[in-house]
Amino acid sequence: MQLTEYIQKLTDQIRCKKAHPMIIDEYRSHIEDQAETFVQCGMEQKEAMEAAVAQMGDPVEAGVALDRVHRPKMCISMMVTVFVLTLIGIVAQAVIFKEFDNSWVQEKYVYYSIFYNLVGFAVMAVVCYLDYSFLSKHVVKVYVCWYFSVILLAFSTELFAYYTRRIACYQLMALFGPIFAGILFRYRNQGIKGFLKATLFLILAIPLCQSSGKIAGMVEMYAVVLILWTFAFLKGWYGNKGVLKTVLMWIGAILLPVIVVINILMGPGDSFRAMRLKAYLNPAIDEGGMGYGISRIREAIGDFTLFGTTSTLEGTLPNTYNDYIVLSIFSYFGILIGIIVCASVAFFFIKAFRISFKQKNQLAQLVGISCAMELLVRAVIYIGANFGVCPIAQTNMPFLSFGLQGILVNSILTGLLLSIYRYKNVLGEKQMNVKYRYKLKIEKVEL
Amino acid sequence: MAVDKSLISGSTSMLLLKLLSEKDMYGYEMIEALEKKSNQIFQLKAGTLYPLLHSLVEKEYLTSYEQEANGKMRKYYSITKGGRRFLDSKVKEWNEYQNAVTSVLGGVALCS
Repeated sequence: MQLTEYIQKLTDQIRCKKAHPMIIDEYRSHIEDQAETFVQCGMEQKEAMEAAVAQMGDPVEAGVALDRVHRPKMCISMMVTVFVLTLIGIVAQAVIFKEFDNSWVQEKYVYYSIFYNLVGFAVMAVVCYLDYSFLSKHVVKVYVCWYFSVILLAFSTELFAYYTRRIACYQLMALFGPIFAGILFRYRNQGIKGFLKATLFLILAIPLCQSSGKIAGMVEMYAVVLILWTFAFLKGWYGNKGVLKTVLMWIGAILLPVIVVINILMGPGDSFRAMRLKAYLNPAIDEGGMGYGISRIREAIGDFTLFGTTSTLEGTLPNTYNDYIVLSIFSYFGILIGIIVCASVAFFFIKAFRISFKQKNQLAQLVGISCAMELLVRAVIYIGANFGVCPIAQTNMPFLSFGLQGILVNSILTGLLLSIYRYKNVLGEKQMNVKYRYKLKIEKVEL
Repeated sequence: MAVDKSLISGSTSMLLLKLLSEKDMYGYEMIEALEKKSNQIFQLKAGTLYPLLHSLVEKEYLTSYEQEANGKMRKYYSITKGGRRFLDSKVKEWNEYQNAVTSVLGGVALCS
């Protein structure tokens, strides 16, 4: 049997075509090693190759065994967690909508919520079935498309209202994490040159934060970039494994926000951010204005019971179905259900990071970490703001709060995590670095 | 010496894990090492080796990475902590089995 015939018979048994290149490489390399040994023992090249192929055993038997291993798999536990959390979110929103004065909100909003989440699930399924390796192969094109989408959106003053535009830009900015993961991966192993190239993409993206003007967006980007850089430095992607570089980066990264906060507090006392920060630290100084939210949150927390009350926080705090869904769950359904919901959210994140760290190929690890981190920072800011322990304004809570834009972006990030799990036994490191080659073969045929 | 294949088929994963507990290896290297260490008794077919290695990776007993060796890119396998624990339990199981077989054979020998 010839090498090509052996490989053909082997791969014919493996249904998942994406797994073929990784398997072919390994088998081909083994056969070549064996043939080389036979040649050293005195065999002719052709004879050695045939003997090496014969040594491999039955290709059909091996192919069937490999087919059992290399199949796309779904992360059922993560899917169930997402589904349950979404369902809890819809139920909590439905309860809040019922207490609205507006009959349109009372009757229709729950249907909007169901529809938005169905769209979210559809997007999640599409992203999950897409093979995430496009983030390495086409990352520059993806970055350019993303970049101009944010700019177009930021300047589409005629099309969207100010607040809608800001939120849309903030949501689009959340996709920077996985894109930057692809960029870091693409320029790895190129030393300082690679690092500078990757950093250039980051520097160009920083001004885009202004499009949303949301501190939450900047914090998310800051945290994700830090984590991704830490990973890249510790893996030695840009020179030697940089423990010192990482430590120095973290010292700088911790000092920077401290300096910013001190600067805000020491700066002009009447600036918006300074007023907000001071009201957060002491709500009594502006009870009816910027300290209002914090005061109401503290009152609501004081009224919590183990099994909940009969009314939501609607009318006390603004946009509870969007901005205070976690606090509302604790308030209406009680501390017990609230803790179960928070535990489910924690389970999702443990699973998400576990999936990411356990990946064999580094692109999958990095993309997974970026998605998990992005969602985690959002959830931490949201829950922190809901309980009055985070001075940054919340935007949306993954899986629980209302709003199509947030649902879409969270679905893309979750879909990427599911895609990473799905192809964990299918995609190898080599498939992440595709450089296309074309071969023209001229063959003599009988007429 | 020819050995009945069914005697080793169940313990191949244990043998591979044992080899990898000493150092990381690529597939071809493993076959050679196994042959050498067993005095040519265990001659594993590569067609059988790779599905087994891949299933051990799936079970998280092994991890794999690519590294250049002798001017060629090789896929190396490395044992994980879980793999070491699994190997320990397999070795324990094997020793118990071996003792039982030896006792029975010893008994038979005594009777005869």
